[in-house]
Amino acid sequence: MSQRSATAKPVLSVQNLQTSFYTDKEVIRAVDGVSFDIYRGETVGIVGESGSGKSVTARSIMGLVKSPGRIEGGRIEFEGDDLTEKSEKQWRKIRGNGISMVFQDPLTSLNPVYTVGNQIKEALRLHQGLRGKKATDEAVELLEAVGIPDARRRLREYPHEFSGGMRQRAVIAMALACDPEVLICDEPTTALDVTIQAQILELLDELKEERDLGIMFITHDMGVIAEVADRVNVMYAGEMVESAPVEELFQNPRHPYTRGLLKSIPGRAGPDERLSTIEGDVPTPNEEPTYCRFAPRCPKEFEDCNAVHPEPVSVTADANDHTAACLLYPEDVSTAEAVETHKRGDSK
Amino acid sequence: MSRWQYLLKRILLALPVVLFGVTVTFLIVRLGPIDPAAAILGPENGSGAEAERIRRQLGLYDPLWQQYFDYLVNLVTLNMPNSWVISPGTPAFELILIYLPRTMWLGFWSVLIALFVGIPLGFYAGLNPNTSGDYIASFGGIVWRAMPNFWLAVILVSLLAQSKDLLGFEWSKLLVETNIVTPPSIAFFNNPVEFITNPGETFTELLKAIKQVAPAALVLGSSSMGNEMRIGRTAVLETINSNYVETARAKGLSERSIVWKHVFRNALIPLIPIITSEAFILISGSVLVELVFAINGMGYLFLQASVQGDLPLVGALMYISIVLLVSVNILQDVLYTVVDPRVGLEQN
Repeated sequence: MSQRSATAKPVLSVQNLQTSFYTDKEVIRAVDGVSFDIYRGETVGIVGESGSGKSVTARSIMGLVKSPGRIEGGRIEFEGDDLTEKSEKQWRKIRGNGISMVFQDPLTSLNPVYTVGNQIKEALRLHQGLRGKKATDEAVELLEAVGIPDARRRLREYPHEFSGGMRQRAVIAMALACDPEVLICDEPTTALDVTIQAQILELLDELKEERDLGIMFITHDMGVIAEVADRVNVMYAGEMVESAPVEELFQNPRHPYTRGLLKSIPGRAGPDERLSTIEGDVPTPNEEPTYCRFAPRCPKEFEDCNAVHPEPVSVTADANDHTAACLLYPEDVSTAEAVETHKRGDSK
Repeated sequence: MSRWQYLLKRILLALPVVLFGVTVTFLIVRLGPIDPAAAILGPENGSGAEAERIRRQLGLYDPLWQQYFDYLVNLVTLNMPNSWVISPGTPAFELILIYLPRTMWLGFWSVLIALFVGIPLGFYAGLNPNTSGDYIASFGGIVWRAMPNFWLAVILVSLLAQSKDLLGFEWSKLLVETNIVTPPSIAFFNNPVEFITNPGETFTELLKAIKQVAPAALVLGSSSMGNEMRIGRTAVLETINSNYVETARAKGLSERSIVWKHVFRNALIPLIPIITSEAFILISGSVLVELVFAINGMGYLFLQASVQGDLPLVGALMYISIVLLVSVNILQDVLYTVVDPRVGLEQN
């Protein structure tokens, strides 16, 4: 686990990102004011249920939000530039080069009609101008780096000749081809079985150390987060509801939603206890937030929850790097005062 | 297994299919109610000494197995006896050599129309879904698909016949002077050397021959064109939304190389069987279109030969069609192995 030094600058900084989808009927605010930083050599986990806006956040950073969606506001700072101002052409130079992405389903992320080598070399040629033997050698090295034996022969094989875990390794090799600063992993282990999942997580950890990568790891699996992340951001209905270093989050979850999530992990409850669940579904965020989006499902809901929109605040006055967007915090002031803080829209 | 061994195996496996086909043809013609003697002499003269003489001459009193055996030998050696009814005195294969090229010429152009108009239109529509261009192309495809051949053929002929009044130019005098409905004059194929020794005149002949079949080819190719357009559109839409295209985008590839490299080849896979089966239908001729445009091709010959019980001719025609169909099928499977590496050559 790496520690942030006080002077280090984040390699990727997302500030107040807003991405909305325009349908005929309504505007869906899929990502609504999300902010977080990623430092080199650090894995930032993003957790949340389906529909909480995790993947849209990732796609926004990659500039891959499909119509009818678009980024509406906020900044995505990478190497001193604001990506949201980039043209499609400029963004293409960063994709796969500065920021890479690994997708959820390794079985379908590789083009079935081209060899694995062809697809890795494609990225090498695009961003580094490598061709021919040089590109092949580099691709062999990459495959070896992600733990695929007999790499030279494997390059000439097609994706369907690879097993699921091997394919995900190949996809990771492809993403690392141009030595990116940031690697975004969108549920990279969800489609894999548990042993392969552990191997891939270990691989990502090694690669992070070796290459000093900043990793953004999206998952809905708290167990996976505990294993890989240095810092966890919990998302709910397009908003960041809690953010803390991983140990702190698991030991002292503050937001009622995070607590609910942790309680619903099988195995944490005793053998005779009923597994607790969070009733209801994630609402579709289709209007301006003037209340807490979690209130309808929250066990600690009180009157103000339906009238005041909570902002991310430090959970206690002296808490180190732990924020929650809940009217109950900051904890060390009275609830009425806390609500006032949120009303003013103070951030942190 | 190499591709050549695969091809050889497929050809060997096709032999029983051909044998089965020609056997069924023999049985239907010889055991059916059609009496060739009556067909030659006219329906009133189906009995009597003359008919007896003809039957004996045609070998209809030989044991059936011997007739069958002779028929098979004649087919394999391409040495079918003279046509019985249609054109007595001309060997069956010689007749086919007169009629088949016209149909092939027509089929060739209608396949080209389907391929080079239908598929590009479909791909265009798939790449620009739900735009006005897509709607025009899709609607056009459905209209083309829906217009029945025989109707479209008649309308087109009457339109071209009055082109001076209706369209403002005279079709029969356009570029080169031709009749509107006529068998194409493709004699220049007998002397391909003339293209070099006497280019001017031969190219005029070529132009003439193309112009002669153009309206018929348009009518014949129209439904295939519509089909291939619709399926091409769906195939592109399916491919462009697939995960590997997303991965390719995340690599930073330009939209152009994504379309040409990653979408195109995958979208071709579902199109292969459509293209080949449509091509077979077009090449093997259409009675209706050939009749309306007076092409005098295989379709017309086939119809006449079968209703008149001209066994040598029907047998030879069926033999040619079956061989054509089997070859198209083999071609389709070989194309599959070329385009899609997942289609293995091994049997398991």
